Amino acid sequence: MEITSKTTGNMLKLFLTLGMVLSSILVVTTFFYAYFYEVFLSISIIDQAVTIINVIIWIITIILYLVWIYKVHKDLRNLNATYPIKPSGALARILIPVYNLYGLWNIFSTMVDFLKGNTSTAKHAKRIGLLIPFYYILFFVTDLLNRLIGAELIFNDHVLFLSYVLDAVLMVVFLMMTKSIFESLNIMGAEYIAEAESEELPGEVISEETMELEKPL
Amino acid sequence: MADKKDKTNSWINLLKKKEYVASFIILLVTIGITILLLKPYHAEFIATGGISSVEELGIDGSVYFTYVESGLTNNYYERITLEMLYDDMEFIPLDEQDLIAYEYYEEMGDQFKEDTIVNAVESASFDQLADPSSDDFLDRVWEITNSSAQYSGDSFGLMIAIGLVEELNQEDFSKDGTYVIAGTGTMEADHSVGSIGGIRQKLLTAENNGVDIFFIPKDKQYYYDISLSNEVEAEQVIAEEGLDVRVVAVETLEDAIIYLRNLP
Repeated sequence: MEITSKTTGNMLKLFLTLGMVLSSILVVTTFFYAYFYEVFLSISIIDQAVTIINVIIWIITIILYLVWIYKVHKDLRNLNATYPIKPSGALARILIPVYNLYGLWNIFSTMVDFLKGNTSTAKHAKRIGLLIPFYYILFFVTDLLNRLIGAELIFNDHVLFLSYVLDAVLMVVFLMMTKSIFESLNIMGAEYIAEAESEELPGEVISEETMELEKPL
Repeated sequence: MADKKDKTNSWINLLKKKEYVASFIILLVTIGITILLLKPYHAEFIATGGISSVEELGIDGSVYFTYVESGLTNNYYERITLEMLYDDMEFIPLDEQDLIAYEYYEEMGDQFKEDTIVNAVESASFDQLADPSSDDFLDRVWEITNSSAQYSGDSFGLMIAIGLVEELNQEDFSKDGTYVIAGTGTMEADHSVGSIGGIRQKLLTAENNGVDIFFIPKDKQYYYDISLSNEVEAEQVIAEEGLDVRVVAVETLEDAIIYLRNLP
């Protein structure tokens, strides 16, 4: 079975890696902004360039993430028709405000339960399971912080610096989760193909035998 | 040699995958957008701000000075960011000559600010502080300069002087909070009130903050083209925006004090 989320997954990994690098640079520039403003002034053009690239990459990453999560659930249901979350249900769990407080956790914990059942993906399931609480907390804390800073309800250099650090950590955590889910699906996809081939093999043998039997005629 | 060939082949294989080609194109477009946004664009920006009590500067007075949000943009990214932050931001594009003049004013900004504070302390003092070489005088100038570090420009001179008059004479021009008094204008050595920039935004700031009486420089007589004066521009803004604030044009600190002492 072909894993349909592979192409998007590859792109998502690439953009998350890029986002992680850009976020790390912004942590450094924000550190100078908060604590050594004179130094920051001399590197402000770098900060501006990285900020612009980061915003565009972030928007693309969000779109890729939604497409990827949709395709991942499509793959999961192709692998096992009884998988409880539909692709559209996964998107609803992320996009609907308030419902996503439950939905975001539910998506990944359901995935962990499913991957645990397979010995080849159990290692990845364990890693994802460990990362979920960090991802969940960081996702909502960074979202809240960015909203408060954006609305100028909080304007404190320490909080600003903290928000950039948390953004970078969220990128790292999410990249690790994406890699584990990506690997797990590839393993399961390969196993599915191998299983299908082994089921087809006896049929072919019988056919050859039949042909050989028919030769004397 | 073989390793190098393998590496080249692996890069070629990567580029054969459509997702990597797509990512590479997206990245190129992103860099292109970034270069465009960082293209030099010099414009002076100005938006309404707020009012601050002279008490914030360590002066025991009841009056307020207005401040506006202003500065210089260096590229289109800064302009877009400011437009997103402020609804009423106005941009005045600067040519090379304007830019030189602006940068000169910025360089001299601290000096102009200190001058207006010195003039305000001197104008308001009628006793021991009047000697500019006395310790008390210098201490007061230093205190006010220090407390006003977050503000740039010299347009709060008149209001500092009015606040100091209240402090030195134990007066309360607000009549126990009955009037909200604010204003703008530099304080010159001869006690005259000098013209300032951004009169439109300062008047709108006063209106937005419930100011009752707002002092502006009476400067019509100093301009050949009177439309450039603060006084005429203020008249236009009041008419255009239908402002309720009572705008009082004053030529000197003494004019403002006489007006305030005669308030009912």
